[in-house]
Amino acid sequence: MENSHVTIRFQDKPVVCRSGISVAAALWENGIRVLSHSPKYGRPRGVKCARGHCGNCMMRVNGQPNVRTCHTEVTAGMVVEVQDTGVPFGRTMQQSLEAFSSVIPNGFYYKWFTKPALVSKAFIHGIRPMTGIGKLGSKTSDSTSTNHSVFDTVVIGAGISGMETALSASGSVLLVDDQSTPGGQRFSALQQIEQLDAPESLSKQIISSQHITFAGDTRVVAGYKPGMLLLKSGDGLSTVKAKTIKWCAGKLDRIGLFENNDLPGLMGPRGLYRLVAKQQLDVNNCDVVVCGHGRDFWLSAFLLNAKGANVTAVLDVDDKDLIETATASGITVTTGTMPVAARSNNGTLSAIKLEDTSYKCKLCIITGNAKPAYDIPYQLGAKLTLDPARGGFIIDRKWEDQS
Amino acid sequence: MNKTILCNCEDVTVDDVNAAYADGFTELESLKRYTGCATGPCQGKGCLSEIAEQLAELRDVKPEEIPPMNVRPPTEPLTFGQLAALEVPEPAEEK
Repeated sequence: MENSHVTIRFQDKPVVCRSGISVAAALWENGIRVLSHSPKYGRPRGVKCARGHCGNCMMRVNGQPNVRTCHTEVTAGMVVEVQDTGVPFGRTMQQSLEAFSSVIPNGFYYKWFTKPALVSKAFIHGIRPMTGIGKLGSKTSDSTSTNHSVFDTVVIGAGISGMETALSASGSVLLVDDQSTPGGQRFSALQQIEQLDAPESLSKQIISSQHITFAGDTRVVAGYKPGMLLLKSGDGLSTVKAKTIKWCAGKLDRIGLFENNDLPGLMGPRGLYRLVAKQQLDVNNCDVVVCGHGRDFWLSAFLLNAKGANVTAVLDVDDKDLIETATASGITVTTGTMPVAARSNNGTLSAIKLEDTSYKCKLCIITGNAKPAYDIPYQLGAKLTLDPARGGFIIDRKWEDQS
Repeated sequence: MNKTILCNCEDVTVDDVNAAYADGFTELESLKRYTGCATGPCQGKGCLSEIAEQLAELRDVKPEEIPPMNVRPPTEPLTFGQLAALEVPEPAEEK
């Protein structure tokens, strides 16, 4: 497996990539980091969340538009295209309107040119290619198998807490996770740096357990009261009904607000784990800056160091003991602020600017202050309260879905 | 062009939200409808908290006074083909 390669076609040119990795990771290894352009300002975008949440990695694959390439494995002969190539003169309409930003700060207003009907018709004809909206696929490739199942307990998220919850639950249990194996996002990262055996023994227990069904590569896309979930997997949609639903989906990466915070190369730790630990993305000799604090800060730094990257870790709190440990293992650790701006070269990250200094890098991992996942509990009736100190909208702990 | 992006999917910048707030869109729901933030492929996973925090700052209120916007199913894009293939189970008997 290690040495096998496949050839895909990207923008009509052959690209040789390792088999078994995602399209986004394969293109990254070939130096292609801009996967799409943003809809209004035409800004370059690259893989960001690496977990199929954001739209940054959406490309046209084998004629099918809006395919999340961070979750699509490369196959021989696969045709991959950037979706928004229809933009004339390399500028979107919004970019052209930038020149008038002092008069129209909000850019284009959707009610312009809607009357009279003739103007509207001509305008729509012209605006579609200008906005970079791609062509629709000629036919759907969706599989149509669906089913409905009933379980006593559904546990969403197969991280360490999700696995423990599933093992301690009685009756029939369905454990849902968007990765192919149980263990969660940190699991593969911890494995790479040979720490903590707990997740592995837990995941073995899950696989051998009689009462737990593990549904990998599956996402929960909707929750309906009382106790019904809509699941999406490669086979299509399915519904599941449960007496108890346990939400163990963990947190979402937060990049933070600073200038050019959308550049390809800026990622959170969860995206990093998926790309570098799970998919073995090659980061050898890559200049990486890790910013922030906390568990993910250290895990990201150690993971990247173990993979041969040139890591500069910028801790935003002072922690002498940990700094000494990290320095001993060859990581440059300094203290500093969180990023205030990012700079680009050819559309991808080239440097990250902190308050008092700046670092050259191709990849910057921003840790700390992650956001709890909230959407399915909200649909099932949980109360959400905004608490920035704890990362975002916090689910009321007292909420229980016991239908 | 340097920009600070609040919502990646729909390209909504901090300046866009500030301008919309100044135009009178002072609730999360109306901000969403005017700027399009949190309506892209991520359905707010990437930006809801950030926008809510920005709004709390603009309104100068405590964060807990900003309620979340409505999160409707589905939480990620589905195709009509997938939905059409779905067999919806019989609803439970009304009590």
